[in-house]
Amino acid sequence: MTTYIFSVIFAAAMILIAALISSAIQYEGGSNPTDPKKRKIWFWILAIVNPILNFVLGAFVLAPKADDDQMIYDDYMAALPIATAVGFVLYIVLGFVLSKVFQKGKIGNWF
Amino acid sequence: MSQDKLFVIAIGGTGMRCLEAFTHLCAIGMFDNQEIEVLTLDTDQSNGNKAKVEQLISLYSRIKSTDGKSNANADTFFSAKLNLHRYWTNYEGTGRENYRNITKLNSGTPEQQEENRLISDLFLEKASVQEFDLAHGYRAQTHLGSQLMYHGIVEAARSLADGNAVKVEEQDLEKYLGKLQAAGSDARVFIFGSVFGGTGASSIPVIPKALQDFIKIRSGGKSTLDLSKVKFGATLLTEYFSFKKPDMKQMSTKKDSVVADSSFFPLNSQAALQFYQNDPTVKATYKRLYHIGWPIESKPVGGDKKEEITITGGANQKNPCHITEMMCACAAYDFFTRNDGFDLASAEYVYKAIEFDKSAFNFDFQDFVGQENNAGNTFANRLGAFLSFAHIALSINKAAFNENEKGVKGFINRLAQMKVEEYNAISEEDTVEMDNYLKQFAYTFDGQNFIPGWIYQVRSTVNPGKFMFDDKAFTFVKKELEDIDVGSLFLDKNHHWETSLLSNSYNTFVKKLINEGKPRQEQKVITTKEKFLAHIYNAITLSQKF
Repeated sequence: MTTYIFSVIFAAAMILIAALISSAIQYEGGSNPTDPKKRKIWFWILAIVNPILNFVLGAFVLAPKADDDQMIYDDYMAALPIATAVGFVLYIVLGFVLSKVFQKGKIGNWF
Repeated sequence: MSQDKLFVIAIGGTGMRCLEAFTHLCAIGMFDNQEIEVLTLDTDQSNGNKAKVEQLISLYSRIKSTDGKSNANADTFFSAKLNLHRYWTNYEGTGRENYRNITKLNSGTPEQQEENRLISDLFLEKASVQEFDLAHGYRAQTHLGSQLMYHGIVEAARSLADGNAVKVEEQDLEKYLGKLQAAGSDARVFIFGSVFGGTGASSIPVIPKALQDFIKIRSGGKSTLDLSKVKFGATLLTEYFSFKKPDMKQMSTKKDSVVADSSFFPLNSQAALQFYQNDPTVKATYKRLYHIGWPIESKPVGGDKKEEITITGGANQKNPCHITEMMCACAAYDFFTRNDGFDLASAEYVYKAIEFDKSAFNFDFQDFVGQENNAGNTFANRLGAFLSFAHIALSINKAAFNENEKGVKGFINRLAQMKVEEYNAISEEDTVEMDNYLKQFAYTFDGQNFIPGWIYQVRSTVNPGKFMFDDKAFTFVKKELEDIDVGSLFLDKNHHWETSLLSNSYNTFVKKLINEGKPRQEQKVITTKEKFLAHIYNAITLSQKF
């Protein structure tokens, strides 16, 4: 359960970071402003970073020690990929929903 | 704003540049809910200043109109509707080139010819004033000019009354005067012109009477213009520029036997002011006369550029704009917006002083329009907003730097990217016209060469003095323009746009525009273009915290 909660919190944190980065990217002038593209790219970079970091942190930092209880460790490691996938999907879904809710804002550029 | 119907008449080269300033005041939105009838009046149909302002007003009207229709709006850019009329006294063709020919001195019985010659020679120098080419104006010969301008207008009325070979400019004059006649005592007429030059100086004293006589003749005596009720106002603009002194070689031909000499302009001004102070016709026909001058040394037209000959008129006469012309436009604002001062038996002469310190003038917003009815703040808001709009289109959206950049269209595309799509219907042609107007107002580049627009030119005439905004608002360095902070153009930091840790001022403005500042009903905007301009104006106004 902890694995899933961590993934959800991690996905939410990554969404927050993506939103902050999007806000920090200033509106550009001219015929071909690149700022919407930059916001989109940063959203997808974090979409990729999210599961990788989630998995790495889960596997190497947050995972219980196998020496203490092999069964708990095995259960945790079995749940981690699923939780990572859930976190990834959640990031995308949250990003999509927020992008549509705030479609006239900078995060509206994500989708 | 007054409920009276507003009329403007611009006469001569200086009058045209005052009208240019007036048009820019209309563009920034100083004349809410007004449909203003504008008449350009000159002897010199090809005059560069005249062509420039007529093109500017046409551009203004195209920006305002959709499918050929436009409306007066309120509290937005381009709020006034301008209707342009043009009349010029035609001195082209055989028999119309100079005074001698146009007055037919050599026709009639020998006795009549003798009498005509004697009276002409008494007032007008025979070898020069009676002989020079009139196509470039009256060349500072105001005694001749007054007679001929009156004659030109009366001649147009007779031509229209006869109905034979009516010229297009005569029809346009009739249309203008038809509106003036219809407005009657509800008309306010403001006349722009100088008192030191030729055409304007000649015309200001006689115009009310000439217009009255036009209406009388045209209507066969059935109608008239009650000069005691129609409110006439004018500028008494004294000398503020100089130009190359004409040499004997240029004046050796009869055609150019008279060329205006700017070294006499101060003397001309002095004589003219004495005339205006004492002339009973002027005092009876005008309600207010605004005395505007430049009390320090006049700068030569064209700066350090040396002309080979003195430009007498024509397409080459395109003098740079000056702050005195802007003051004249603001005099028109005062005349059109005041509610009192029209019931005096004699004309009132008004003037004001500007702070002069360390050899420079310092201009603040209220110096132009006063503080009555919060006019100073309104002027600051609207001029500041339009200057910001110009920098948004020209600097941030790069319309001034490169022909391929789209300026206003680029900004509309930006809004579309932010899902504000209601302005997508504005065509690229329309947005290019907005860009072109803003270039004429502020600046542009021709390749690497900086071309100052109206407000930059006006600002340069008071340099190094203070001119309402921060100096960086008038930079002409390309890199600085590209990086300009459009939210900090005011000297007063209270009107700087908000910034935050993550957003510069332009970002907070765009955010404001997206979320706030939708056009309001009282702005009376109908078309998509009008709504767009009102939306931009509202968002800038909110950002400026006015």
